[in-house]
Amino acid sequence: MRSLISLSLLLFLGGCSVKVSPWQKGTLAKDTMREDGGNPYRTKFNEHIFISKEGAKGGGGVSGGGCGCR
Amino acid sequence: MSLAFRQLTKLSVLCATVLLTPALQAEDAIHVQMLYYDENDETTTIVSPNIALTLDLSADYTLQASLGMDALTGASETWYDKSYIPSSGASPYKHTKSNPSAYARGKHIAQKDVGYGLIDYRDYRYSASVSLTKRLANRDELTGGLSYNNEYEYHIPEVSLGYKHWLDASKNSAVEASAAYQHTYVLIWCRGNDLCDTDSGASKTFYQNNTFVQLAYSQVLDKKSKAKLTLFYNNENGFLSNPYKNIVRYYDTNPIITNERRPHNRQGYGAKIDYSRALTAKTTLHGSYRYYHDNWELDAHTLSTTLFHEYTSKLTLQTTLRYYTQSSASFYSGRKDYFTDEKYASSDFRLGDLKSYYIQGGIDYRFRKDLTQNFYLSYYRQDNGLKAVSFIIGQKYLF
Repeated sequence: MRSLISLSLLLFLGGCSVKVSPWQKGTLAKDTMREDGGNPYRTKFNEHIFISKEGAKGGGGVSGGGCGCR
Repeated sequence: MSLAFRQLTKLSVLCATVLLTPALQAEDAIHVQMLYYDENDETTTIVSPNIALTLDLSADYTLQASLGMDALTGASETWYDKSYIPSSGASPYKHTKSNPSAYARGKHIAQKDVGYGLIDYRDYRYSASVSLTKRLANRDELTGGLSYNNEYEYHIPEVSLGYKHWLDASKNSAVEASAAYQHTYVLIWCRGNDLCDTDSGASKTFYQNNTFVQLAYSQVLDKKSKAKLTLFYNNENGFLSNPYKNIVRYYDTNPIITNERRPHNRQGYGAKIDYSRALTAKTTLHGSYRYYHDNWELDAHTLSTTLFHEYTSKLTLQTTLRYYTQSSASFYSGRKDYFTDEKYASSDFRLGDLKSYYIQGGIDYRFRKDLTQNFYLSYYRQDNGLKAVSFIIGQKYLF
């Protein structure tokens, strides 16, 4: 676990030197580059299924509402 | 370079930043979406319509609001007393004297009456949420939110707060801290329930106080890729047992069916890495890995990938694959002859060893500049036999 976090930090620290100007972000600004692909409900419904059928949760945002899932 | 030209350049950069940064895209929208979810063996079926509004009140404020409902029908697997099954077929989760919670919880029964199977239920869940994002002078974002979830035995008010800070002027990196607090009311119906000393059919309210904290660091890696590292911590306190789930104790000697019992504190933490890259002008790949661990000794790993392909200017195809694995909680057993006098015990399969596989395919079709229709079809399977098919259908209207 520690090595994974260390590796992640290194990856991100390495990325800090990158400079992309605002006018070069046409691709990055596309809907398909967003985590939800431009449709937050795709992610929201999927997470709802996973949370109600599995034991782990977290990493996708803190606000979820919760449920008394059977 | 003249002063006027420098000011014009600064203005151009500012405009480009506002236009091209996803978080700042001005996009007033209404989403109308519905999830249909159906499990095998006539277990859970969910129909969940939702409507959401995103509205830019000004350049500095964005309002988001949503309303949703889940209509749940089907059956839940648990241990039960065979001799107490309601002959009407009505739900044992209805809490009337003529049809009490049918499990004879807390009472000794004969071995031949120990059953495991599906108990019918029907429920409705309603949810509402609203959040307001304020962009500060340096374009940092402060978001506050409220939400409320209500179902028959659960009432869950929640408050959340988030702050996003850009680390550079070009908005290539950002840190984000967010937290949410829930004060959950859990209604436990007392008839035949060993948590309450009453035979009146009255209910007793238990509580959960849950806090969720998340820290995220996002970084643009180049013109075509970006990544995000998220650390999260969940702290849940109070009545965390599932009131719908039973266990069997002393099966070999003097069987008793009673409620499951979980520790009153659960602390979970983990990390998630997200990576997104535009492979070509029309194809984008997302990948993520999540690690989770909690003090119930449950470990989980999640791998997920999504591929988007813009087939035409109007049609986008997407495919998602997900693999999940977890180890069991320390107090879990699915066996009926296992529990005796353990303080904590659960037979809820969601706390057991399991692997799951998920595949989703779908389309987004833009009929008009302001109207997009979506349809996603999914298949979910666990290695314990659970299978489910679901689809999401909806529209996004820009105005």
